[in-house]
Amino acid sequence: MTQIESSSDWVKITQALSGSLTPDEYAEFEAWVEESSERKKILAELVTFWNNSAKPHRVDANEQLEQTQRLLSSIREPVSTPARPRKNMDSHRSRRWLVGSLSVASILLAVGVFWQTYSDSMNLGSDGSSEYKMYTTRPGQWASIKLADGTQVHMNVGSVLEVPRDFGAGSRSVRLTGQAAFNVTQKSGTPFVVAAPGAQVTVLGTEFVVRGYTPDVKVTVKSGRVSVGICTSNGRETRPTSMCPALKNMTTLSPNESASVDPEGNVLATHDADLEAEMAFTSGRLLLGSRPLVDLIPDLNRWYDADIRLSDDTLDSFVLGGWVSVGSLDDFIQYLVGALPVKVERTERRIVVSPLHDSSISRRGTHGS
Amino acid sequence: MSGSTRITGDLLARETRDRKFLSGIITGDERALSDLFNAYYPELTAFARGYTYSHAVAQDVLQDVFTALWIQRSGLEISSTVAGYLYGAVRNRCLNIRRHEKLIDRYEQSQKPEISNSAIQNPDVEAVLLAEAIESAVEKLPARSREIFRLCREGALTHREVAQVLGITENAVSVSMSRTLKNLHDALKDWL
Repeated sequence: MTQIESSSDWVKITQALSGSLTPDEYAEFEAWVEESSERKKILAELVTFWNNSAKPHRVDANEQLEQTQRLLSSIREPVSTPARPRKNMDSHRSRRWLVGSLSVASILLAVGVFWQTYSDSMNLGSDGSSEYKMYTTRPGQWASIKLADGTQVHMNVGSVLEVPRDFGAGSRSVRLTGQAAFNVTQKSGTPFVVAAPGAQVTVLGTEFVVRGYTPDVKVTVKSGRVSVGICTSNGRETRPTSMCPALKNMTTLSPNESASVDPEGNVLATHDADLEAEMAFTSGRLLLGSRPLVDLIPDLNRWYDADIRLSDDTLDSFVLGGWVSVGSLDDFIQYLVGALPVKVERTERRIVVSPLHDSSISRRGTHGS
Repeated sequence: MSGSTRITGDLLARETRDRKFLSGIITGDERALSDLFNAYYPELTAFARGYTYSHAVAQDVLQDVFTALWIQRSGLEISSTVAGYLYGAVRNRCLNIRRHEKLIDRYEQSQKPEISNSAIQNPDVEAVLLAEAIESAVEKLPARSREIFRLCREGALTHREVAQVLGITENAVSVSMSRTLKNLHDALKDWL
């Protein structure tokens, strides 16, 4: 005969299993179970059942990441910048592109402009040609764009991406100023080319980041292989994007490698790239770790759309750890004064950071007046 | 028995963690939102799929729930546990969608939901078979009992939380769960 008969016994058991009992009730319950070996046996069975009845919810890590980014994009202000019309762009085409959310960021580019036409326009520069669509993020803005070939581009703050109207028709080339992470759709025979100021990056299908805020360009590879070189044609940098006729100092990068191109055109490759730091912005973070404050200022200004200044060069070498996420300037200031012995004066977006105690670095010992 | 003790401990730790995320969210920290989202993504999509029968719709439901959480953050007061709140919100959203799409009939007929392939990845064959047996026994439960069971077990919610989610009394949850547990125990005796 079973020792668990009444329905109230079963109620007690389910309450125990689901964590619904208070600690006292639970102790009482345990004592009650101990009273009978039959109860102990049934409880053991039930615990087995209980522990096996919650399916492990495995999901694809990429799916989860994608959905996280989808969420973050949709809660942010729509990072909308008009596909800025050059002078004679058809007016009905100069609609605003909402690129804040992945779900509306599928931007189909007009196809059908002949390669020759595009090629001609390359030399036109800023004379008003309408051969490019331009996506711009201001400081404090991010954007995600999907190109016609399915390539995903995450643009960091203060960046410009120019995409030819005939992108995908025979060639896939874009021009970037600033920073963007590319997840390139593989398309055999049609390499994907990113032209950054002074450097050119060619890939087949891969994930990588180009950081082209002046003066240096830095390319970091997450997967696949990427060629980096500088493009010269008759001694001067060519106008953006087609396959470069003469790529100098070319180097090929594998995952976790990066290359920097300096203004003189030297290409320096490293094997231990800081992929996390370079990709951080795609998940809404700016890594601060182990860089002197003075180097961080340009990044912080773009990130927060601020104008941060250090009053005193004793502050230059201070190091802020960790990372900041997307947030308000106020949050950052709060963080800054909490983390470093500094005080902050703010006028609108201008922030002047000065040492908390008087200049000399005796901050640990004397308290300056 | 240690199993259930551990469950109680987990619940406390979970709520402590979630409250931390929540206070981050209230101050406008997007990182906290994505942390909370990531913590619950697998279980909540699985839970939503039980109502929507579509993984894509389940994903949309989560987006809606967390976006709403963000939008309402300044006036947000969660009196239940965070887990209870999230499960409740996901459930409500699913029901609204279902009402909207007139899928109620389909639900009542209890068509077989998409079976996740998670069990297949589990190397422990015994456990896989047991999990399948449990799954099919759970599928045979009446719709309401099954819903209560899933909230209780997969959502790891307490009876009180389940009661809040469903808008019924705690006692009703306990009674339903005790019947379910007794039935399942009988049905699965040979497996345990």
